[in-house]
Amino acid sequence: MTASRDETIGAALCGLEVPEHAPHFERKLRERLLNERSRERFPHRWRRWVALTGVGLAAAAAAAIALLTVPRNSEVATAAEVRALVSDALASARSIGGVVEIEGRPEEGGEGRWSFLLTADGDFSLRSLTDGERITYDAGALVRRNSRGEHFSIVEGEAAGGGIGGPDWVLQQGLGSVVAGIAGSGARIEEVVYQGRDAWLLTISSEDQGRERKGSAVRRVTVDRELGLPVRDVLLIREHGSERRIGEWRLEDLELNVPTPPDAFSLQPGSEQKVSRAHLGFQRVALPQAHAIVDYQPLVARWVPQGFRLVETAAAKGVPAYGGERIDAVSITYRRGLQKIVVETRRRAGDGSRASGTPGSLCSLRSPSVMVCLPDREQRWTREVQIRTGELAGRGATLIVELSGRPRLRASTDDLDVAVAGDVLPAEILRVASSLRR
Amino acid sequence: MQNRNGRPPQDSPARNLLERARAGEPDAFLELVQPLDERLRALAYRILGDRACMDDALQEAYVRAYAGLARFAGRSAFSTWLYRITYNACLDELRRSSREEVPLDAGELAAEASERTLEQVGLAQALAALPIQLRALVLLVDAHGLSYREAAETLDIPPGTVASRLSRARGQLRESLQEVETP
Repeated sequence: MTASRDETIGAALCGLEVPEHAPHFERKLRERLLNERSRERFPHRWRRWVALTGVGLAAAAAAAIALLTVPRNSEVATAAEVRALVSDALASARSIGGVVEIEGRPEEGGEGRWSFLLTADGDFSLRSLTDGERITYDAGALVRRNSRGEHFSIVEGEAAGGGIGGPDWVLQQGLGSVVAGIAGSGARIEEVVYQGRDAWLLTISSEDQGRERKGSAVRRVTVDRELGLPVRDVLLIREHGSERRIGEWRLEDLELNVPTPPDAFSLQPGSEQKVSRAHLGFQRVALPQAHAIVDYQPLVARWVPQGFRLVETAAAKGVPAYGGERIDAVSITYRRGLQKIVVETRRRAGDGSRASGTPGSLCSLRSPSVMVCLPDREQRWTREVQIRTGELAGRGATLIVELSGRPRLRASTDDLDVAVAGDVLPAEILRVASSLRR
Repeated sequence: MQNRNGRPPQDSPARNLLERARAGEPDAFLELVQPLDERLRALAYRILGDRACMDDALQEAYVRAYAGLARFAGRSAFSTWLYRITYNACLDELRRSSREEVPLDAGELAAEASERTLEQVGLAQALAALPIQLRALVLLVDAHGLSYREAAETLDIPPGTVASRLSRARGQLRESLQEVETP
């Protein structure tokens, strides 16, 4: 029977990208092949003896030519391999501690040196090494506390979000945004030594990615090869033949899976401090209870990347949004190690219609849907896409990817505004959005 | 590596590799499968929908192939034989994880996202919406260039049904290629 290929479909299918194997695929396969060979060659009673000597066989096999994946010292890793390593490192960590130094980007706050601790539950603590300011966030209670000089503030009802307006943005956005940031074509990779350790330096330019903007933005990310974590992130603008640094953050003294002291995230005011309080409106609830608070069924993802699980649902009734109107909102957070995806739905309070204010804007600056309007935030591209399945089927959506931020998607139903953002690839954000159901 | 009928010619390097792999040399086996790895990844990934499952299925497929080399008699092409083992390993992976077919709301899961990739999100979604067998069939024939006979052998379906199944799958994919919207 003669095969008749459809060349058009064939070409389109060949253009679909396929992930590389995980970094340890080849090593694991070799071990299994060696085990298989020993199983075939030796009777059962000899297998234990063979297993003990198998170390020598494995060593010999490892010295053979690498054929499948995992670059040797003479090969520079690809962007996909580095991205996979970073994603795996973030996904497998239970906590991370160290020192973060932030320069530039005053609009996002937090310049200076801070010691920090971040957990996979979303708790964090920061202590300024400059002036002693302290910030803690208790994810279980949705409470942020800030101690600075004679002032102590308690902000309750803050759902997991974008982490702007303070030094924690590096923890809540900066680390995870590297995964999406170094995806795509055009990333140049060099092997370097940073702070005496082997590292990769990835250079990503908005020009390489075909974005037409005034000036060209460049992001340079340094990834520690042993830890698989970004340790430096520099954002520059190229204009008129010169480069201008917009901002930079660096991580030092990193330690993964740090033991968490009790009360690490519940800072208490000193006796001399003036305490102020605010409430941003969110309360942590079980998912089935959210409906009772906001009086609508929130959208829930039926698909998330492997390893993510739903860890937090927060609902708010009648919270003020930009533009003065009040909205009913639900924020659902999925976590995988230090990575997260947030799905937000909101509706105008009172009459149940769609909010008329800026889509996705919430009083809480922690909302992942808030567009950070920085002067040089033009290093982003937007894509209008059509959602084909789920509650948003047939709807248009806007997918926004910033050179230095996490991807986010905005869409609407007849009565809801929806935002999805996370520390994953833009295509994964789209897939999550395509799976949303009431 | 393979001649026109898919079999390594006598005394060719590929035939020597096959014999060495049959004799139990892991490196020879790895060298034998390496040229096919990208296509097998594509098949597994489009069936299973995520990288970890893809790797699990391919680990299993490669080990089965390595263990079963002695039984490979050369009646079909080595590539076809390996495709079939991989396809079956993917079905086993689905059963093992108690997953249904990749749900209709599945979307694109690119290894590297780019504007170009996002233009094909509609195609990936339409592909994921096909039943597994049709999905595999259109990949094997149109993307990987297998003959109808080879595809039928891989999927264990009657050769006479390939054309009609393929026609159905292509029809749905063509719709999605026309519907991908870009401003």
